[in-house]
Amino acid sequence: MILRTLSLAVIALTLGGCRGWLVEEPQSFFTPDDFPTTEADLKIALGGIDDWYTGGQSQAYFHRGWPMITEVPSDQTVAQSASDSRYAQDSYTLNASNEWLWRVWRQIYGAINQANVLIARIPQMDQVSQSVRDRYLGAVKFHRAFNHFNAVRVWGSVPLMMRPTAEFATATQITRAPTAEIYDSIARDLADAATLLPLRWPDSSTPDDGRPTRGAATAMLADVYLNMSGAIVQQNHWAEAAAAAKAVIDSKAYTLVPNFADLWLIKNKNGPEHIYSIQFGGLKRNLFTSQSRPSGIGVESGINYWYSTPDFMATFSDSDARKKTTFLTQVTVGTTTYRYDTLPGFFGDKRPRFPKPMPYYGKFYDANGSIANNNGRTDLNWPIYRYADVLLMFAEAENEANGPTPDAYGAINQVRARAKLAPLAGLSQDQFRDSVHRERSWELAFESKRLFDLKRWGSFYAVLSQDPVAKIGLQPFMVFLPIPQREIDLDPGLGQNTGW
Amino acid sequence: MNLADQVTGSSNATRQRVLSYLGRVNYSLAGKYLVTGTVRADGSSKFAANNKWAVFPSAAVAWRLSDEPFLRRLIPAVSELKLRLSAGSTGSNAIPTYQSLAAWNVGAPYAIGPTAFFNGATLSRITNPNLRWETTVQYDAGVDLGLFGNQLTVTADAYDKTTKDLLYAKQVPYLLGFASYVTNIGRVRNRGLELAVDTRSASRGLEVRLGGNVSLNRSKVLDLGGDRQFFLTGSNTSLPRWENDVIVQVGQPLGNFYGYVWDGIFQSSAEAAASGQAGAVVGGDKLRDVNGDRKIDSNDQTILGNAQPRYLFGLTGSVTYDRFSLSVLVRGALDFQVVNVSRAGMETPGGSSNMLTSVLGYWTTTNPSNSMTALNVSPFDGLTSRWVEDGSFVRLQNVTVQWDVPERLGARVGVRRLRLYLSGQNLLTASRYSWYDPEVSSRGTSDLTLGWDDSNYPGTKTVTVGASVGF
Repeated sequence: MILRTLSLAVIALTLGGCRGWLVEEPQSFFTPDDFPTTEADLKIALGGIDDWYTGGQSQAYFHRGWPMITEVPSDQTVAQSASDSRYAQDSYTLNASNEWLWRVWRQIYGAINQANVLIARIPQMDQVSQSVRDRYLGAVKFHRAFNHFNAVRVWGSVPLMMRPTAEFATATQITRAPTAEIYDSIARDLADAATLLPLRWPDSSTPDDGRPTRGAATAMLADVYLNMSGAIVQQNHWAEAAAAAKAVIDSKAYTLVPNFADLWLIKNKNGPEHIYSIQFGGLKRNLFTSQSRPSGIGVESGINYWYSTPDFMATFSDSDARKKTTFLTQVTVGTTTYRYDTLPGFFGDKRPRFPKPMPYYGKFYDANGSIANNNGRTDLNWPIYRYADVLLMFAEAENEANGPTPDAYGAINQVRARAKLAPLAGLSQDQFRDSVHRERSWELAFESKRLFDLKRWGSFYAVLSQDPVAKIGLQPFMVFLPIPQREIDLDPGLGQNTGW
Repeated sequence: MNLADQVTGSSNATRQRVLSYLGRVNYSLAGKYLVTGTVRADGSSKFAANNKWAVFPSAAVAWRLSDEPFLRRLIPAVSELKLRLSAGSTGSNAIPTYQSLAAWNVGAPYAIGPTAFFNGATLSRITNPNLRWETTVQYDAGVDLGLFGNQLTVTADAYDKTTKDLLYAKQVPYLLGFASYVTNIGRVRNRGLELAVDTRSASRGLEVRLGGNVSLNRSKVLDLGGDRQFFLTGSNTSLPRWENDVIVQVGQPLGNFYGYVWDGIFQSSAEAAASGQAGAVVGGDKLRDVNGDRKIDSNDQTILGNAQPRYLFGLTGSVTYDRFSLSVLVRGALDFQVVNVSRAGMETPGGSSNMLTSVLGYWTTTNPSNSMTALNVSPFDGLTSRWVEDGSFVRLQNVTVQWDVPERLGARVGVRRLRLYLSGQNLLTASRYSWYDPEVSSRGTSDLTLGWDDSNYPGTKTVTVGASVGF
């Protein structure tokens, strides 16, 4: 007993002296106490947000998940397989456990949290000049808005996360915010970002280098106002949408690339038409190119996950200069020419399940031989906003706000002129609306615009119920995808979307 | 073959420190009454600033009854009898370093225009000021019995072990920006019995030993820090990608598989359409409406099996005669389940990768199979009881024959001592499990994630021929 008492006393005496011995001093990472502190820190913290889009996070969302849940379920794209999680998206037979739902959801909210951490931190970084702080604060607000905008368009009402996660114990009682409140918050973030951001970064030679800019924030703001004016939110922000798009036009920072085909070459990325693009290159080559490429075409082979449809291709006029670039119907590799409509076994797809041959994506197909050397990946960027999109957003919003004014004609006819189509004239407001809708489907095909356009135009169900694959499981409530099951299991207060 | 066109290196430095103080008292009275007391204080750098230290006391008493004269008089056959009781606590710090500290990791690649960078910073943790030692309190009662000059020995133990503040990577909703964090959660109790019997007999140079042991352990989750349950999900980079396929639930044992009950194959479009199951097609997997609400959703998931064997046993035998000996070890585990993920990936009729021959029996209108889907219909994308199999097995674990070569023979080839042996490991397994080895574990060996077989290498079968030589 004496011994025991003694040893306890010894322990008690020694503990005090050894506190420092057990303190952890990290060697290989930063803590929020010391990071970010400098402008160089901000640069790598902003770069790190891109990791959720393109990087090490498994199947980052602009490699796979984003086209998987926004393009494959549309009427312009069909999944090659008839049985997997892609098919489930395409045919609207998915359930809430579909892997593409939680992957994209996770990446969206991962990026939002990192943006929130930086939004809270940057105003206190007194070692950095005000102008630099403004730029980075604008950039991270843009990212927070961009990701909320993506979430609200896919799922409708979602959690609105405006503060960094500080603890986990009570954070699992978060609920979803009303859709209109989310849109208001996005619009505020983008308006702030447009004020804080420059048209181009001081060290950049192009307006678009993957970092958010005033042009990117303003273009997205126009898009947000279009969505708020549409069938989902049902408010009237047409005039604000037109004003935002006009601000981008009036900045004179962007022009259309004269030849539509040149726009899609890897060597021309971040060109004069690009406003905001997800950057691929270096160690981060994209997978999305490969997924819409046929297999079995030699060194230019992709992995053949999805393709477009002959019905969509038939909506293009043969004189439309975009048709040949938008669709891949013929490939010559070395001395061999492969055609999409040569039986048996149309190119790429050896076991076709459709009666008609299916054209592949041509836009993302830059046949320069690099894909074979890069593990089936290329350096092409994923376009979020380009100038043609802004012109069409302006035309649409202007027509809704003021009718088919000369400015509205001017904008859409610029896009048509580049496509070698005759200018529009003398249309009623309704005819002009239909023309803009068609023009968007041609100009922006496969750029993850179509499904959101159908939703805001209120024609989601009417159009997709005519799609032979989508109609297999489609019901009107599917305008919003189900909240990922894992999220509901861990936070039951979220609840599921109606119908799922 | 190096497929990567760019190889980058990375470096990492971690440091962990442990500091311990130990005090022990042993007391023995007349060799019959034994008392041991221990107290230790452990400090680990891995825990939060104010929780680095914990104190773990333990005590044990034993009574050697066989040294009591009255027992020798009463039951002379008893050669040894000892009763043991112990109680004590131990700690675990089996987590990675720095888990209580928030972290920005540097090293994510990103691009600004044409320039690639490799130092993007990403958030990987927030602070956890409550992270502390996991503590296990164990009570044990045991008997050691020897009869007939220890020709028959029996050892029996019963234990009750409760672990609190379990260290675990708890899942959190992705909407928080993270997938999980390391924390202390709840309490788990393990109770068990262990019994071992060994016999030894020798006569005229022939020695025979026979033994057997059996053990059973029952785990039960007592508390999850207020939560009723939590789920685990397969790794993101490999199969299974199924969500929530392991459930840890208060009142249940660890190692429960969670998913849908498989009721065979939809035999008609009408049946599929009426099922309330999203994506139901004729020839596809049919799931059971467990809660009877006429639709199939996550509320129909249920416990499909458990990875922890209810009984473990072993049998040993050896025969030694003169210079020869033969020993055999058989062991087995009964009453547990394995999820055969490997099979789940190879039973899509018409799939473009390698498939099992079982897919040849695919469903058609003329072959109304109730066990295999139709052509190009892949299995339901989630864990179903279709992949849960009985893992019970009995295994011939080891057989060894050896011969000590007589010295005079050895001397001829210049060695002092020569022993030749033939030994086989893992020679035979009797099991109804359809894949290679019911004992593999693809998701690690934690009690929570045992029992997943995702194309793991099975245990190897080894036959060794050997000679041991002394000069």
